[in-house]
Amino acid sequence: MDPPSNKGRLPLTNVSNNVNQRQCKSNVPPPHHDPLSEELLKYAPHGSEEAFFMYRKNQRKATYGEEDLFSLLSDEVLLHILKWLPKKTLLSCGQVNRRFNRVSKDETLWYRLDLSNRTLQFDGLVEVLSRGVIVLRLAQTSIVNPTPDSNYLEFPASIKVQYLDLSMCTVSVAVLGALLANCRALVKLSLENVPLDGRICAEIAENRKLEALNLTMCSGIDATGMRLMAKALTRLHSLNVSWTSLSVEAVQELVRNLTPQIVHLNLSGCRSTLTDESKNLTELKTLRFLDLFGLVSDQAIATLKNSLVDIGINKYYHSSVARPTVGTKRTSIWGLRTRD
Amino acid sequence: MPTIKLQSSDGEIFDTDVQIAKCSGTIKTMLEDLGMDEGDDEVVPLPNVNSAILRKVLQWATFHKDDPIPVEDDDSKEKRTDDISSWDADFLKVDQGTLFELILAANYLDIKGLLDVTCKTVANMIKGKTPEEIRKTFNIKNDFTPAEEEQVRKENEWCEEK
Repeated sequence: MDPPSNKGRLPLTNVSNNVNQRQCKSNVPPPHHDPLSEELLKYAPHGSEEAFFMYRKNQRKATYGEEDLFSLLSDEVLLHILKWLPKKTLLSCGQVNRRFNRVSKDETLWYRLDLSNRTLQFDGLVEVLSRGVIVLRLAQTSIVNPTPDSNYLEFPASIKVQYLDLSMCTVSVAVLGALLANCRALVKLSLENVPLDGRICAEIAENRKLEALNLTMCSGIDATGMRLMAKALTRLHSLNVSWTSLSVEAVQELVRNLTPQIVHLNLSGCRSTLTDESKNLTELKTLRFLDLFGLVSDQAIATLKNSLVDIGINKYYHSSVARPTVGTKRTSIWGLRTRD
Repeated sequence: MPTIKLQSSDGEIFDTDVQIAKCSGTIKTMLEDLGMDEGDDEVVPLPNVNSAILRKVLQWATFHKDDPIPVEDDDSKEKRTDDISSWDADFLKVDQGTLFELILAANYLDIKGLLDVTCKTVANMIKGKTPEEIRKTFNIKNDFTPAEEEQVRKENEWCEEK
């Protein structure tokens, strides 16, 4: 998979690139027939146009210390300054004046964001998503439920986020359902240990570009939800549904419908019998790693190993299938930085 | 060593080593596209840069003439502002007006290294400041209406530590 890039996102698509009028005035001589400049020329030191403009230039210089020097810079250059700032200062910049506010919201500045371990107001979540964040880490974040009013559960119509880590996030089923209902660009998603329901599973299934899905320790995945996800998510290469208390029917739906593209699958701890379905797993031609801890007896594992010769079964005790943050990188998700 | 003549907005001529002048993308393109040959006694006019600033720019370019060609912004790289060399930091100990004029010149002349280091210097002056402190530092006028100010405050103050 290609790493995501900020390249395709054009800066300043939401801001104009016009330099301040004053700068235009000092650089572009007014047309000759302009009555005002003709009038002013009378007062120029030597009556010549050249001297007139020299005079004006000097005057601009004399006002250093009083004028707003940023007004000399184009939005493009202002953006070039803002891009070096941490997010916290960027939020301060948004409150300086109208122009700073506009440029500080440019989506190239909001490509990646780490708001893990925080309390995030619902309006804040909406604000973050409307800035066009692509890589968003909300691990262990508490998302405060909105108070029922006019904006209740209203998210931006089309959310751009592609890499979303909601591991161990505190979020209500209603907010999560509304959020995922407007997400269609997800490539990797983690909902580790977050309560789900049928609607959420259906919304996940609508993200057809999903390549990695981590649902370990989630509750609320039923047979219908599992069928929807397994059938629709044809690009999935890593799926972690370990310790999700799946029913026998849900496991059956998974094994019958899962994309043959799958490479990593973690079904550990799903306390139902899989032995009858194991022959279906042999049809997953690309599967290379399968984790089944606590799921089937040692005897059954031996049988599986015989029929699934090419697949590493229970190779890793601490499975990292589809999990966003593993190893030594503490704030990256799926190998992508979330901080600048 | 071949040289070319650069003319500042106020008419001063700078006899400049071609290799140093070519660290400016604008001048490099001009020389290549217009087929201006070294040895031609032509003058390259730079109407947007005055002599004081052009002198500074050429001083910077001379010191950095052996730097590797800067690559396009790599998104996977961390954005740091604490990596300004001590020579650059000394070079940029100038008044705000000069600093901003250098940014304008670096942008116009397309000198990525100079643009980056001047913009980083301004970013460091902004870093950690409140909106009011930023306005004070740069004489920026607050043009929000009270209602707008309340709105942008909400927009930008949504995140608290747990």
